[in-house]
Amino acid sequence: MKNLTSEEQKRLWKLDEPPTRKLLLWGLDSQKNPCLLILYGKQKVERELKSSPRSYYTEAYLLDPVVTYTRYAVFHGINGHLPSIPNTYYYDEKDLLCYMKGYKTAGIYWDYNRTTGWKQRVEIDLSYIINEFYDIKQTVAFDYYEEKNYTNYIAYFKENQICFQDITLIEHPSDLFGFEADSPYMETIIHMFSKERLYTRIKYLKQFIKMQPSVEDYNRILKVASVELACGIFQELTAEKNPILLETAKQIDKSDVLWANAGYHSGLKRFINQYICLFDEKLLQKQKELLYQTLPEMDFHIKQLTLNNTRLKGKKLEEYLNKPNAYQNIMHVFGSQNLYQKNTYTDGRNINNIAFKHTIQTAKAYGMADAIGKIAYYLDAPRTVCYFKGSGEVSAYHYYLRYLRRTLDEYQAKDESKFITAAREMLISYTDYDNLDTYYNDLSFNFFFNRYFREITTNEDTAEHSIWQNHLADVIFIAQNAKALPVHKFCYAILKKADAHHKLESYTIKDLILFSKIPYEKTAQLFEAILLPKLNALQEFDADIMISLMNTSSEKLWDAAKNYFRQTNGRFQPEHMAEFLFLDTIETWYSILEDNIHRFTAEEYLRFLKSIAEKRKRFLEQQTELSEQITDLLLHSIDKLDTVSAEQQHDLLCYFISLLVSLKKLPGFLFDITETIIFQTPYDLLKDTLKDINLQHGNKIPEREYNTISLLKSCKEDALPKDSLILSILETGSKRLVKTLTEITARQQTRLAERATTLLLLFECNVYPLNQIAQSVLEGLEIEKREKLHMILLDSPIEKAYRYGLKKLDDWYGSKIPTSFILRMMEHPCVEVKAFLSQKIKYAFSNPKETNPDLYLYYVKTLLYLPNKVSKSKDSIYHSIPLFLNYYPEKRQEIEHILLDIGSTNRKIDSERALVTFAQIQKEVNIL
Amino acid sequence: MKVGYKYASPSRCTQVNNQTTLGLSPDLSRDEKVSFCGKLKHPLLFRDAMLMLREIVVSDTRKKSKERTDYFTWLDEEIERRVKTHKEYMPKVREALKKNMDSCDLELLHKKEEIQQLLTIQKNLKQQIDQYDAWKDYYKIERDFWKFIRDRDYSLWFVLDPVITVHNDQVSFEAFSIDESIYGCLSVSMNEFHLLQEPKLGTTNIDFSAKLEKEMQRFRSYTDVTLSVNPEGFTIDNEIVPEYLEKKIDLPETWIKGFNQVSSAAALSGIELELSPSDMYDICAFLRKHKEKKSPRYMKWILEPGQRVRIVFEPFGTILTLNTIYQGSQRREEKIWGRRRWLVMEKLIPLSKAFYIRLLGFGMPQFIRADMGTMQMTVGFSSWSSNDWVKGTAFNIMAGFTGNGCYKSIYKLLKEKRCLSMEEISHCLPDEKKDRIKAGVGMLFRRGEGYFDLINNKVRFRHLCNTPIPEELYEVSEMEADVQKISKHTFNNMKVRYSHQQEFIFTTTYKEYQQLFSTEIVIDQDGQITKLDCNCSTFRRGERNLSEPCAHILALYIASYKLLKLKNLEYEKEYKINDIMEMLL
Repeated sequence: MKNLTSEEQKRLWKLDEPPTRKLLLWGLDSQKNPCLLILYGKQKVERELKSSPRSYYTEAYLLDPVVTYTRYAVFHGINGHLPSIPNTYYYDEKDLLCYMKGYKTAGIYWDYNRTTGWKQRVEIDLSYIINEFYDIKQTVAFDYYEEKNYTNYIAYFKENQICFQDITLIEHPSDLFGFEADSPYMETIIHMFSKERLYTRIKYLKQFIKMQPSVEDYNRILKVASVELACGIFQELTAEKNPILLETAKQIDKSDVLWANAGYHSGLKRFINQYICLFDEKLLQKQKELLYQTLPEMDFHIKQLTLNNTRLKGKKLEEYLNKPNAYQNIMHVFGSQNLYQKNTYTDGRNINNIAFKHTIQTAKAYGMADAIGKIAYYLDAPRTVCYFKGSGEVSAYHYYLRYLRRTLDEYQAKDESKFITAAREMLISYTDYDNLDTYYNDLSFNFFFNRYFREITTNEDTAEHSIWQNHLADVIFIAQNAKALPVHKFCYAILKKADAHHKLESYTIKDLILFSKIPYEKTAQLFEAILLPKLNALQEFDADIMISLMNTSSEKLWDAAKNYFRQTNGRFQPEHMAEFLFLDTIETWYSILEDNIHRFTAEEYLRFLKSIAEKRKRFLEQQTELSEQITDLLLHSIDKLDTVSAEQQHDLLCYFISLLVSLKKLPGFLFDITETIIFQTPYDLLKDTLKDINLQHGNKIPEREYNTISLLKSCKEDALPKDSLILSILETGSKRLVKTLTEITARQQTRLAERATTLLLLFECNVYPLNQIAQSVLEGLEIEKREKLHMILLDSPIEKAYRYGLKKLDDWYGSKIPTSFILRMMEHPCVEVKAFLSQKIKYAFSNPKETNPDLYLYYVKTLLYLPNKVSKSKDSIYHSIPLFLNYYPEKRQEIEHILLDIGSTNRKIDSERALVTFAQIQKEVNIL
Repeated sequence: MKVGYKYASPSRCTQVNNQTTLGLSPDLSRDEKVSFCGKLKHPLLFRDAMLMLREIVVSDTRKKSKERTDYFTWLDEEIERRVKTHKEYMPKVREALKKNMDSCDLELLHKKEEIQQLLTIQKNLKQQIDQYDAWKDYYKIERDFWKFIRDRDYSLWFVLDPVITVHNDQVSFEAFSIDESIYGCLSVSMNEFHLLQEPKLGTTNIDFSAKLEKEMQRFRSYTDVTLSVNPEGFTIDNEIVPEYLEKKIDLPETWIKGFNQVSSAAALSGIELELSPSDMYDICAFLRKHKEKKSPRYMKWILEPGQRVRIVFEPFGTILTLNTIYQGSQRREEKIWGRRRWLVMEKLIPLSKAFYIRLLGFGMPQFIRADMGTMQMTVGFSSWSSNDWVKGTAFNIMAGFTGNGCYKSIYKLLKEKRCLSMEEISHCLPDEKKDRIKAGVGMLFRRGEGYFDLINNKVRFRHLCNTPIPEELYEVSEMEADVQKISKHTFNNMKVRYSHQQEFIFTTTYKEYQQLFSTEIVIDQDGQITKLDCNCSTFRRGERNLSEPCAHILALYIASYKLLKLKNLEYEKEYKINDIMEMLL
């Protein structure tokens, strides 16, 4: 091969299959629509090239320079527009022409034939086969390597009188494109319209745009342009933010004329819309918002998965997917299960490629580098790679990858800030589950990470000369927010080099403390090493620095904080101690907080409390929640108020009560503190203080505040609270409220006698002192009032209330329970009451007028039909039945039916008792 | 499925003098703003029935796995104790040995002591680290949390709130137990109420808390009890801002699908027995007294024509003879598992006039209907207590509720009419075929927009959830798709034989992937499957009964169900499909 001449070198062919050459020409069909004529011809092999004449293997071929074109295909345009240049495949074995997609997605199977043996067969979907594919009857042969222009070909065909079906060839391209033949654009335009490879066509399109053609020139092109070319023009103009074709774009958008079939035309409209939106601020903003809103939907997070008939969801699924190689193991499920939630980009099972592509193109067109970075991350994650590969969408995946790679490369070369923005977004998105350290032969993940960042982590020189050295703030930001170890390593590599060149020393102490919190130990240590000498040099105590140091998680910095405190003779003011409550590490510094609070003088402590109250807004903003230990410490510390003077206490009470009444929102712990301060005050002092305070509040207020203020009102007015308030406090109130409520109730015992429902509440609640108060009130009542309340008590479904009621029945009436009680208890749903009543039921009939026979029957049925319970009570009931029938003979049939029904059961004891009673009725009642 | 409920206030019971109002707060996030206000005629009956429904809601018969944390704590302590003892005595042994050792050994001992010290330091450090371990007391804390929730507020603990539907003729309360093996529906007739306002029809979830249960226990015959469903909620004090009670619940898929399966199963035919209260008392009394500790744990119902029904309780072998007489024409035995769940019925024994038991066959669910006059309680038990309503069986396929059918027309029709029987639906949609109507009704059930009223044999309109159910919950399942696919071939090789036991024996073969599958089902005069078999791997792998049927069995069942009306068949003669068609024509 070395001996080949330069002419032969051109004809050298190293692939097994000789190439199919295509020749593209333009024409008009019978409907005067422009169309494409493509001639196909196989280039033959002139001779084989071997490394030596004896060699068996052929290393390459030398192609015959003359190509004979044997077939041709016609592609029609519509409405005056050329068709897009098709990507076709000439399948000479079957002598057919199909679209490349049809060939790639063809079904392949092996067939056995006795004569030929096993043979591979390819079944191409009929929809991809091009029907207008004809033979050329005359010989059409051209030297492939000889330069020829369009007119040469046309002259050849004319000369040889070669005609093609349904197409009249255009003699000169200028006739089609409307440019003068000697126009400077002409050559570029011809290439733009005729080159076989898409990227070559784009190259010429860019070249054309660079030549700054006028609107008229563009319009001439667009008059015949295919959808593909028009899309390219608008995409490029969008990227360049060139409004030259804005009016034309709007006209095309409004027009109903289709440039190709509806599907392709909608693609053109997408690009036109992108272009139009770019110059309308409102639309642009809306588009961008929509894009950001739907961006997370581009992530291929699996939401549900069925494996071996088991459906995995939520945490279980997450655990499964976080295992190494999880996605590779489930490659078969992609595209066959509804793994995702339906959204803009997926129907739950398959990706919506048009929407996905559109978003990527829009993000690029609008220069949304952060969105580009995020999408790059999504495409880099194993879940996405596996989805595309598993569902057979590899080519789509490669398209997206290529598109983003070109975009990022362009950013890197031309617009560094955009590249940094995109990279920032990408890097902070990676997690350790995104396989950043694994490389497989068959599956390579993290294409973008490997391309742009990997080398920096492994090669110190690259790190030192990388563009990142000019963007250290971004690197630190990434380090602060990174979730994946390789990203941390990447940041560390850059920062280490930056440190070597003393680029990090300009940061302030507070910044350095903040950077020392970076979760990656090495990076954190790097900043610590810069911080510590600076800290040692300080002479004056700054509480903010101290608190910042305390708020780190590094023990080394904690020690440094202690040293700093010592060396500067530091001292915390009460306001600083209040600041402590914002520390994330407050548990660590608990002893210091405790110590300082204990050491506070009365004045200091009051300042401390007020300082906390003044910071309420910040607590709410930062959603600070204190641990139980800290809250307890604060609440217990309120005991210190015992030592403050009455005047100071009065002032403090006024301050916190007005804070409460002002109805400003308070954090939970501050509300507790306020409540404790108020209700820990001796009752009389509180009452005295409340005299001068207006407790009126405006509109409706939340229940918790309402309860506290209402209780204060009761205290102020010396009144018993309303039932609803008591109920609410007992249900949801704090122990301090309950304590005060108990105190008020104890003081108002005399008024309780008039309020039966309040007493019932006190009986039923779980507060022992309140139960005691209720009992003493009940026991002290006049008999008439007591009976009424006693009955209400017996109706209670709360065990301790009705038990007390039953006990008192025995105590006060012994065996002579009034009928009214018995009648009342018959409807009670609790078995215990029913059982108690069975012993006393005989007294129910002492006053037949009052007895309700239906109620008795209800009671009897609910007790006798209770399986295996209260057997002894059932005995008493059976005994009472004849007595009942003596008074109410009209109920005999019903009773007999019940007894016979129970008598027929398989339970001997019940059956016997029922039948004996039945016999007894027959005997005794008849006699009576 | 994640749903959010929004209530204007918690449901509450208020009592003013002799007026008690059971105020149920409806879910405000629904389109139909349901409201109702009616005074109860029999508050005690309502109270006991509602308390029984509550018992269903809190019922959980799942096997509780033992938490052996105490044992493991003891084990750790025991190991430590032994280690300490060992440490205590080991030096003494060493001392004895030491006497005989040379100076090298002595040096070695020093080294060991140093190691020992280091180990102690390591142990102490480990203990200190363990103290800061966030997971140290996790399980204890979690247990405490659930205990706290349970003690404090059941409504938080039991998230599956019942649904209440106001119909034209009744108000119904539907609920599932926690283990989703028991379904309960209390239907209260409008005759039970003195209506105080015109009801607004619709469905809502109600906030049925433990506190409300306690309050309901206060209902008495001498107080007027009003049932009120009020979208504005029930606040005690006017000065308090109504704080909307919001619950965000991850509804189990099985809960939603369960409602569909219950409706489908209710539409299947089976044997119905009428039990007196004493019969139910007998069953419950036996169950209360005997707690089985080993298998088998079923009760076998022996039904002999014209004889009293007998129940054999295994493993005791005890036989209960009920008062009920079996009216069927053929002897049969029915095994029922998960019998302890029947105890939920005991509260209704004194209140009910009769209990109607519907048995659907081996491995199938059972329904019990308690007739309390103006109130009817329907309770459905899944095949086993360990099975919820969704696992295994596909009742919707067996009932012929497959595909989408004319779902949209049926939805529109039922939304307007609210309650129609299948015949009435057919009458209203004369252009639709019966199969499509059935499929449409099935889709309505699947989407949780209707349920089958077992008592009146009608389809009722009811929106189960406040948001549309996700498609994956109602989309045609793989099994359904398979059944639909192979159904076309069922008649190709179908044969029928009528046995001396007056049973139809249907057989057919299906050809799939160049394999032949023979399927056989035996259906008795009551339309119940008594035997089934298929040689496909799906059926062989499963329980090999109706609780886990394969697509072939279901397809054959659907096809054969239409042929049960065949009469005058000769005994033991095999009829091919052509013969059958001729007979039918």
